[in-house]
Amino acid sequence: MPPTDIATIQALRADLALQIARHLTRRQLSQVEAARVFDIPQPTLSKIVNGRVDDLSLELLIRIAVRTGLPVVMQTGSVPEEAGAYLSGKGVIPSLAPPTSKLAQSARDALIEAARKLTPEQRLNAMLEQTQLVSELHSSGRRLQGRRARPAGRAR
Amino acid sequence: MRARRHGQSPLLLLDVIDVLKREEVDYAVIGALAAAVYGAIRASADADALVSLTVTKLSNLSQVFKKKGFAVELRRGDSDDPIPAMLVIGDKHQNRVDLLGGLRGLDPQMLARTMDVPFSGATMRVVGREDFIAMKCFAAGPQHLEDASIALETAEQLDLDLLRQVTRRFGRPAADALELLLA
Repeated sequence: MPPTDIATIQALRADLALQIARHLTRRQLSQVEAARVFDIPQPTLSKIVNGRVDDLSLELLIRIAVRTGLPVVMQTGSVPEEAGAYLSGKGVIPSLAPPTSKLAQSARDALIEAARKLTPEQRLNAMLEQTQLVSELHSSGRRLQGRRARPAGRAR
Repeated sequence: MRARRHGQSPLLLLDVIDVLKREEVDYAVIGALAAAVYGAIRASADADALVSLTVTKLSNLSQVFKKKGFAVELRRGDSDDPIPAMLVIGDKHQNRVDLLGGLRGLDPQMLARTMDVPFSGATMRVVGREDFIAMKCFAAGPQHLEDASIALETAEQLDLDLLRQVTRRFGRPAADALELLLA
């Protein structure tokens, strides 16, 4: 087997084992419990949890993923570094915490919607204008600070 | 020189791009300008671009910029720094362009996936959306992830296979950050 094939399979094994280990952690199962519930030899599970998967076949890991109810997508690429295993399905993938403020979220959504209506060139021009305005604001602030600092210096 | 005052680093970048074109150096605009192109419009004191050059060639390029009247400093990354070297290019107005000499994990094909965007009477080659999101997932600071999130939300078309591949190249943490954004 060509070395790149071996490296790709190794990368998939490592990623899939990681996803299985995380899945068990999310389900708050100990290795012993998980081994019993899913009928997997405990030493095999220990290897998966600790990422020692060199002697475990990809097929075995897929079988374990199926048995634990873990929906996964595996993807290869042009080089082994691009190969990965990902979770699939709503409710399975952990998501970012929801925003704490609905008002802040609606303001963000409005900004994105406004940006969506612009062409890339218009967005670049808007960015340049914002940068110039912030620069002017920064300069004004520094001038004001300088003016405030001078009388205080004389008083001493 | 296009920039007339402070706060015009994007215009300084256009001057830098003129030099890169003359020197036949492939580049991609990244950072805040790319973020703006993909919908996250915000001010930035500097402008960033990426070239794929060895440190020696980057050093040679710095001499070209010096001869053209730019203030240039070549900075080298530590052995564990994902950026091997960077040219910091400035003008008399304190505008600044960071020219990254590479990025560990970056797909070499990234420079072939850039998008030409007109700007201020010129054209700049901006990093492709998938590569941009991947780089932001690799950087993974709150602002980076917000930029990536907006780039995902504003995408009319997205090559999810490519996105996952180029992100995975940066390592599992970057891939995990992407999966969080995709969820």
